[in-house]
Amino acid sequence: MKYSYFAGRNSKEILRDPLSLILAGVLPVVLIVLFSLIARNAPIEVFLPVNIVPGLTVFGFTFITMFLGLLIAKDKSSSFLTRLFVSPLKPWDFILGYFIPVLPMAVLITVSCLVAGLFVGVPLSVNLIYTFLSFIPFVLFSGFFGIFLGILCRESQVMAIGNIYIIASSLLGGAWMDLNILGKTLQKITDLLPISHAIEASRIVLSGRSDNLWIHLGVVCLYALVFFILAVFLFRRKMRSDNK
Amino acid sequence: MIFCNIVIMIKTRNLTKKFGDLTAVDHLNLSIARGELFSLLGLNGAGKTTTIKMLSCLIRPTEGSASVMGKDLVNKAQDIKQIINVSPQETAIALNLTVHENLKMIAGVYGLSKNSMAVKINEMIKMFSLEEVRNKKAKILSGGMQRRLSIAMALITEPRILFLDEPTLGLDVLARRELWAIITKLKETATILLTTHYMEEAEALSDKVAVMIKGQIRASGTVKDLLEMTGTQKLEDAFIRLNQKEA
Repeated sequence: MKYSYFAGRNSKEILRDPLSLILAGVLPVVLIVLFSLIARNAPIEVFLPVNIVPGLTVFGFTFITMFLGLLIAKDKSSSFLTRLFVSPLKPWDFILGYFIPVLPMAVLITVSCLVAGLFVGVPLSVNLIYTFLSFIPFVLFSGFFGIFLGILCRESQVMAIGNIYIIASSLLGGAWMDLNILGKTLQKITDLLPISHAIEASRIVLSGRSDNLWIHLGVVCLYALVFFILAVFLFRRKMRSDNK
Repeated sequence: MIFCNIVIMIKTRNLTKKFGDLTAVDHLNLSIARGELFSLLGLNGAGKTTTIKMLSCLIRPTEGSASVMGKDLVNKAQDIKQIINVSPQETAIALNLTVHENLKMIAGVYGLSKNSMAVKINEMIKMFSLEEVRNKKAKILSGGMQRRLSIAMALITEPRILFLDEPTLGLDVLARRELWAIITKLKETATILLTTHYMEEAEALSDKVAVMIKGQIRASGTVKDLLEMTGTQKLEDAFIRLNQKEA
């Protein structure tokens, strides 16, 4: 499969950047431990292990968007992507080639957070496996959103938008803050964002509940689908641009 | 009896590219035969790179048409991509991959089998004298070596047609001469369209030269033809005379 060789290159780009691995694997775990320690003195519901662990795991996935976006924007700014546009690779091959390498990063984030969760009080149960699966739609969205940003924006723009996205996700996603304190207007905004639904869905699964699970997952899947379509459309357009 | 055995690999008919009000390529008519090294010679902004981008299916022509090995440029782009390759003006390599990994990646993307991939990688590394840096990351290579790797990545796929866009731009005289020797050998295996603004390069390498001025071909033929056409002794003088006529 031709895209697999391209995916191999992108894997090496990601793995050979130690900062990305540290951010992805270590930062969410550090935050889990930190908030768990805080929870001992301030027993706020959102800091409970079954809430904070899935929240910070989903937050960790937002870095995937930034890394992918930067990788693509960097490729675009050199002639490397031009060389590949002349090759027989199709838009679908590019999407797969860029997306597949982030899967190990997503698994690393998930496993490290869930294992850390076990140490801070998340009960060991089959719900952990279901929680792992519940992250898939948001991982897909994060990857496709990153591809979308990378193909649309320059490197400096991706950096700026990526940072805003990560900060906004941390504040409006509900990872470590009860969204009820935001007020009605901001809550309406958070209801539109996929991250709040992804966090809520994974909390429902980890807790063994089932209320509105499919609605939350459905919203995230819809966002993933929309950005997948946009990414393919943009790649198709970029590959045969009238303005290049 | 004379047998006409010329196979036309690239043919353009009034090929035109406009960017808004700017006509970058203006009714280009080219015919490149198999085995030829054809140079497009022109100043910066003459339309050389835009021509290469159209013929390598990167951008759509505004008007006109072209065929590459008989395949229509617009309708059979995917087929054309299988038989061409490009070494872009800027060195287009994966900087965090080694020389070997770069060659393997591009060979895989073009669908070479594992067996032929290994053979071709060794062949390219030997041809472009990259043995000592085989396992070094591309970002630490000198400019000349990076350019050699870029051309090796274009050649490893055994293209029928090779586009070299300013292949020696930015290289020192020694690196340039080394690359010329390699390009001369490439003529045995591929039809080459090369763009350059170096007169001596066009003179040294080309079977035919087309002088491009403001998107149009003002003169084309062998170097000898151009000298006769302009009544000059050197290609540089011929080029200047053609530019002065245009002015």
